[in-house]
Amino acid sequence: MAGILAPIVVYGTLFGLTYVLIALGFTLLFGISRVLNLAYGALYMVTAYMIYYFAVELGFNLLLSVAIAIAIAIGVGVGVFLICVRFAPDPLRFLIVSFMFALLLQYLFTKYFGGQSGLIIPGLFPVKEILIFDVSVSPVYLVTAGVALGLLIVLWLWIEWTQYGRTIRATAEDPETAALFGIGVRSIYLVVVVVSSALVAIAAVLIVPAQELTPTMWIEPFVIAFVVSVIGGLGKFKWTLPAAFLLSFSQFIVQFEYPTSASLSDIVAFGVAIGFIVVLPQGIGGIKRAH
Amino acid sequence: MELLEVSNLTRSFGGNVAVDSVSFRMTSDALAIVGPNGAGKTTLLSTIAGVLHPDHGTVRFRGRDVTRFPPWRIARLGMVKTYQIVRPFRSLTVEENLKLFDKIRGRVDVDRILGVTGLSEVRGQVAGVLPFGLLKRLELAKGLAAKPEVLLLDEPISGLSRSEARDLLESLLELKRSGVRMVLVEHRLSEILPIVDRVVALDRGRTIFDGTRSEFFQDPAVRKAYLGSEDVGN
Amino acid sequence: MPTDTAPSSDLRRRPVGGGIAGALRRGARSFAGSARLNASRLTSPLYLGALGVIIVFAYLGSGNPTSFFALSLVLSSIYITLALAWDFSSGMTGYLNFGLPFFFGVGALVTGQLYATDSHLTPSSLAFFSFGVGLLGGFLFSLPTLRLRGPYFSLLSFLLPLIGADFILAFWTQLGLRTQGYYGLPFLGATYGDELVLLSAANVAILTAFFLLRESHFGLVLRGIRDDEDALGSQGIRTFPYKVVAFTLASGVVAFSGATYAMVYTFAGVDAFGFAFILFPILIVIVGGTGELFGSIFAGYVVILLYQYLFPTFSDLTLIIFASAAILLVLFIPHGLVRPLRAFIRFMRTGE
Repeated sequence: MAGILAPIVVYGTLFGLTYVLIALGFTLLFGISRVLNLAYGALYMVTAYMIYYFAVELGFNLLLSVAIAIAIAIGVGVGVFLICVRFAPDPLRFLIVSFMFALLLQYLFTKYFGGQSGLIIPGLFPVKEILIFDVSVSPVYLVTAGVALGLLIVLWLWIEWTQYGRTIRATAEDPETAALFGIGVRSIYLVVVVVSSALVAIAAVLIVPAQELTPTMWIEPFVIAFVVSVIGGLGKFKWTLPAAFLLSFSQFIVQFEYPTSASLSDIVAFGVAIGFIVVLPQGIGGIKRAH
Repeated sequence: MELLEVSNLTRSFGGNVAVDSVSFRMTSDALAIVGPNGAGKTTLLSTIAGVLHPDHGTVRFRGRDVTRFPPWRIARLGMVKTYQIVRPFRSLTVEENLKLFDKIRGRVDVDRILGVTGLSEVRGQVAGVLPFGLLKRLELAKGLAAKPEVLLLDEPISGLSRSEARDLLESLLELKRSGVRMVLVEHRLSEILPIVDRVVALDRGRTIFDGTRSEFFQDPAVRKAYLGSEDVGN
Repeated sequence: MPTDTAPSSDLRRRPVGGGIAGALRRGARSFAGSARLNASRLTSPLYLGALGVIIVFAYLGSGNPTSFFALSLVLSSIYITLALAWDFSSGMTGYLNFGLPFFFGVGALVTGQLYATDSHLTPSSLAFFSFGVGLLGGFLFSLPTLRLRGPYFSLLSFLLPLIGADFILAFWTQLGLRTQGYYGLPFLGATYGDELVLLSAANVAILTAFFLLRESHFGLVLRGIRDDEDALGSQGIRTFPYKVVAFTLASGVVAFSGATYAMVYTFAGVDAFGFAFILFPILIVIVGGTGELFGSIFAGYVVILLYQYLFPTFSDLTLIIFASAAILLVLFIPHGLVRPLRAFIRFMRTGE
């Protein structure tokens, strides 16, 4: 009994925390912009490839590379935001554009980095595994979870306790009303873009060293972000944490029950998303249902 | 059996009670729901039509409880609502706007409806380029295309000039004669009262009057609510 | 001719689930019942023009049936099929459907597996079965998802190509089927020229069917959905069945197209789930005009031939160029070129 339970709990928790990190930026961004931004996942990929480029190809110092990569990711996020502001496309058009943008990046990285697998960026942390409750865990996951937890606490404190943070949350939950109150929605939007880009970039810094770089790696973080947001309700922060855990635990329960196929986590994500849409379309928060 | 029976309908938005325990019955041919701005008229109409769900109360159409029905179902049963802020299908022609509803509740006599609403000359025009007055007529025409037994009209003459309004009301009168029952929400009293038989007056969400047209002007509560307001004509 | 339906009492007894069957019945009725009206529609100049273009290219391609030109036309035809399906379901309703690569890949894999099971199956039966599987898959997917508003539906449909490939492969693995891909599939035709003729004929049929549907009451409702879905509801039209039918048909056509693709290359594998199969159809529809079925025909040949002939020079940069062009087009000319063209023609004719 404990044999099955322990890995599920340990991994479920660790991954749940990283999912929150990824999803929080997405939910924040959606709340404020009310458009679905497929390029969000692309930022994750940009960070990873930029770290590779600077640290491995150019030979820069690792920490410097990480810093540059995060800055570039934020820059790209802001760039997309500016295009959005300038051309003000409607949500549907923006959906298409952000998707094509992610595709464009995919093609670019395929061309310039060869699209081969096997590209790895050096990890920031020791590789030797540690035992937690008799479960062998790589330190990468631990540090990731720890940083995620730390960031979440900081963010939560910011949003709950500071004036500006509360303004951001109010605006993200109801932009129209906020505008009525004279809140500069656009500048808040910019801040949110920067914060959410940073969040996903940091997530990439933490997680990617455990994986290979591929030009299609923008997909998974996006799917996670989206599914967690669907479960928790797009734009509702409170529920991001429980939603992330619901997803990660479901995935690991399935993974340990059916240890054969590696691609099952995607299917679980998909299944959970569809399941929620059908059974509980409000998320635990707010997807609108067509009449 | 009454056509329409509304019982204790209540609907709030946040802390604001827009419709407060409103009840009335529609037995006559044409009923007006009037009241100052903000009295809850449009909310009431939307709730009856199924666009909004009430917090409490029921709506019965021909004896059947339709309170929680989706709008399309209520419309199929014969109660159709038009919009105050017109919602034409802009990329379709006037004729196509009506043809949409063909065979939903029986064949649509497009020619007749165009004639009654005075839109025959623009039948081939794309709705998106029509002037406002014609769009209001199109709104009425669309309502008719759904072959309603009861037409819920939300401020059908708002925004129209006096002469445009007069023409539209003529069309409404003709419709009334041909057997279509109506519930009109309006605040341009002097213009619509001539075509209705009964009046329900709201003030701040509550019913303050429910009676015939002639009783309406005598009623003290009505006079109190309207004193000082400019709700007579535009 | 259809008779008057009696009002309320009849309708009150109709079961709610009759919506989809009702829509199908209405669709079939408006499709078949007004034959004369349809025949007159088929004389529309744009339709005849599009037919002409298809026929001309089929003829040109057959002239040199094994050439690069013929192959390029074959590919154009496949992408045109996809563009038509996308335009019909998404362009007309405004419910953007990103699921194309998923059904395309499914069509290819199903063909591969069916042929592996029974190598006596002919290309047409393989394509037909794939069409059926696409219909079924599209129907099942649309039931829970089309209840949502447009953007939310789009996002869910987007999950299909993202993880749909994984989903299918896991499913395939569970069933013990081959996941590396199927080789040795039958040729769709003896030469590219022959395949071009077959695909052109298919496009004519698909174009005609979609065109007639668009001009019918069914198509009117779809366009109404794009304009104002709630207003339709307020007046008695339940939009859900219409959306489901449109999406299901489109998915079937897409799966059919995937089957033909597999048989052109005699290989069916995960490459059929690639994003090119949504990028190019969208690009084609934008260039040709959303909701303008004929535009996709003209634009399809232009875009794909351009790509094919630029590729030798630019190789993998070509894709990047086209993706960038697509982004710019969506931002600057989202409704495509046919609509402005039509307005221009109307202006020249009537001065307004």
